[in-house]
Amino acid sequence: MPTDPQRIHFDNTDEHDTDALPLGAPAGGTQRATDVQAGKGLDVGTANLLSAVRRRDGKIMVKRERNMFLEIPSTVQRNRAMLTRLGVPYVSYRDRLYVLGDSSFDLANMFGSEVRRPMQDGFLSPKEQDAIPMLRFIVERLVGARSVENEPVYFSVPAPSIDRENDTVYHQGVIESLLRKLGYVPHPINEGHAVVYAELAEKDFTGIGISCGGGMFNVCVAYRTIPAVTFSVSRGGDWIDEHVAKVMGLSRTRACELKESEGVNLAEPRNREEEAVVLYYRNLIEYVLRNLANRFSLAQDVPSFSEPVEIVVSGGTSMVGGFVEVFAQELKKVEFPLKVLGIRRANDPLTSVVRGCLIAAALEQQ
Amino acid sequence: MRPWRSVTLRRAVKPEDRHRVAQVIEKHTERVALGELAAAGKSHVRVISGEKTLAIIEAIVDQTIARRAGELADVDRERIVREANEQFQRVVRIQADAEALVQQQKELIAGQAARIAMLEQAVRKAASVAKRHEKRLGNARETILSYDQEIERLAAQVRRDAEAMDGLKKGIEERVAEVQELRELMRSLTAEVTAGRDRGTKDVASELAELRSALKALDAKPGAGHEAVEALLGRLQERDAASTQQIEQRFEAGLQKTLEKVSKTLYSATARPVDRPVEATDAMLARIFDRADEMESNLSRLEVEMSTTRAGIEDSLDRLKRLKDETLGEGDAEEAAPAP
Repeated sequence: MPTDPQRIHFDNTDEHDTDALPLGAPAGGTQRATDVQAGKGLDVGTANLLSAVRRRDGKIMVKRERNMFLEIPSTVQRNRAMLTRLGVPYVSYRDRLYVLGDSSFDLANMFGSEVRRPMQDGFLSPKEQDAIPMLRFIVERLVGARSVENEPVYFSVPAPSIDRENDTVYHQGVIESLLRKLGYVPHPINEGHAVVYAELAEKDFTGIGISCGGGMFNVCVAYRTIPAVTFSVSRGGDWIDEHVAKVMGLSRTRACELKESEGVNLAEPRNREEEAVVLYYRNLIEYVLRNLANRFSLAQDVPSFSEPVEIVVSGGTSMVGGFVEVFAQELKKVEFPLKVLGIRRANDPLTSVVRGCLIAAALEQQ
Repeated sequence: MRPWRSVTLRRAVKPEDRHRVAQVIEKHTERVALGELAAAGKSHVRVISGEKTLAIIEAIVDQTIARRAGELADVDRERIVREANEQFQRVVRIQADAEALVQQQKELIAGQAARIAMLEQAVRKAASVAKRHEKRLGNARETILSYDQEIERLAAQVRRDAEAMDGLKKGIEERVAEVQELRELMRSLTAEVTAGRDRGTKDVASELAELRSALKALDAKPGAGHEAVEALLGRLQERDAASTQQIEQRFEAGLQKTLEKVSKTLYSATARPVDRPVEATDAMLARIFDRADEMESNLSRLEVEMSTTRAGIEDSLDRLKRLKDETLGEGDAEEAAPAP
């Protein structure tokens, strides 16, 4: 079985990156306001919401909740005490009962129903009328009470998509309003830019950060912290699942499981289903790179990069085996306007964006 | 020396030799059941016993010895018998070796046959695998073909978009040229206006001169001067207003037309998100937050699981702070430097 390189360098240096590590053991317990430093990060993703705070000892604590909810049948509504004992978070609103987050996913399987998603393709879904109250509770659960007056929260926003009309104003406005109502001072930060903050410190924040999410890919080309080019494409892990399912005659859930199963390596597909996954991954990566090259050539006032730049990929969709190798292969096929030093995956791909948001918040406090 | 014929071989062959020959015969012959012989179609067989075999050997030796001329000593006879016996045993051993070799070859052939069977099975299996791979290859080719078609379609779409973009660029260039013409028009109109004003000024000056002379003349005619001045002034104002207004109207109309065209062209050329009015957002959120009595939840009683990340942010923060200080330092240096 070929190894999955975390980093690919083009100049034959002998560096070895550490493996991407999942989140550590649950820390548990409520974080007191005195234990943490002021400033929080919030990653508002299509599939997951994450918040991050920095403790006095410098450790970064992250909370994660699935960005979904489920309306519970009326027969269960009487057993609210049972829900609390089981640790299932619920909200009763307008005579309806909603379960939030991870628990909604589990219960949906049990009841054979579908969860509802406040966000689609990276933005708030205007079709979900109940989305905003639910989002408020999920966000409140994650950020908690503010620790100081006017505490800043930097939350991630996607860049406008090049292939779809997005309502960035509505989306950003709602999140800002939510956080303001909770007593915070909200600041938006581009999702790709957050990746640059979290992963490109060694390169003086010069390079390309790509957040590979479920709903979209966000790209940011930065020069010494300044974002030069930012955009997003409305294709992500969900797009791959949808098309693999269509081509192979599978359900989306099965296609998603296939993509995330152990041992899958894009560089060495073992069967026809994996070959289909590889095809769509390659298509998506090539799509992103071509649009990046195109946007770079059209953009004005772009700084000239005198040295080769590094590309860092993050996000759940980048965690599949062989992703970096395939990315490097597709990069060679595109006439890229920049010289690329190498490509690597973030050390902790699931938390890159929220750490970048936290960095921005912490910098403001210093 | 006694003549040969008077000595029987029996006395020359020792009992142990006799026993050895019997053993050799036992070893190199096989026991066959009578039923097997019958099954092989043998109804009659010649039977010879060990004693008879030995007798035959003895007879052969006697005859051999008898054919030789002269009498032989007992020692010679014994030597001959012994040599004959040894020769017999050598022959029997050779026969045994030959039979062993035959058996070995038979086993070898059997082994080769088994190996051949195994190889045949492997060949059949490999053929089946090859067939499976061929099928997969066929499927992959079909998939590639469908993707080639998709790529062609996308390439055609890209070409159409590029042509549309070229059209838009051309439109923008035309609008820019129109704006340029309009500027020229504006300059000419400005010059016209200026010239007109100059002419008007000259006309006014000459008319004023006329007026002065008329006033002087009217001094002699009381009552008529005031009406004449009023009429002259009115005429001058009307003419100025008319010419200026006309020029302004023409300019404004042309500029508006051109600006509209440029706006439409730029709007269609750039992709912009739709700006939706957010008038209800704050009101909606106010409703959510202010009407807490309409909501009930157990969130305050449940904790969210927390995890630590191995990747930290200290490096990023340190470097950002350093970059920020460098930038501020450069800014201070620029302020301190004297202006050119």
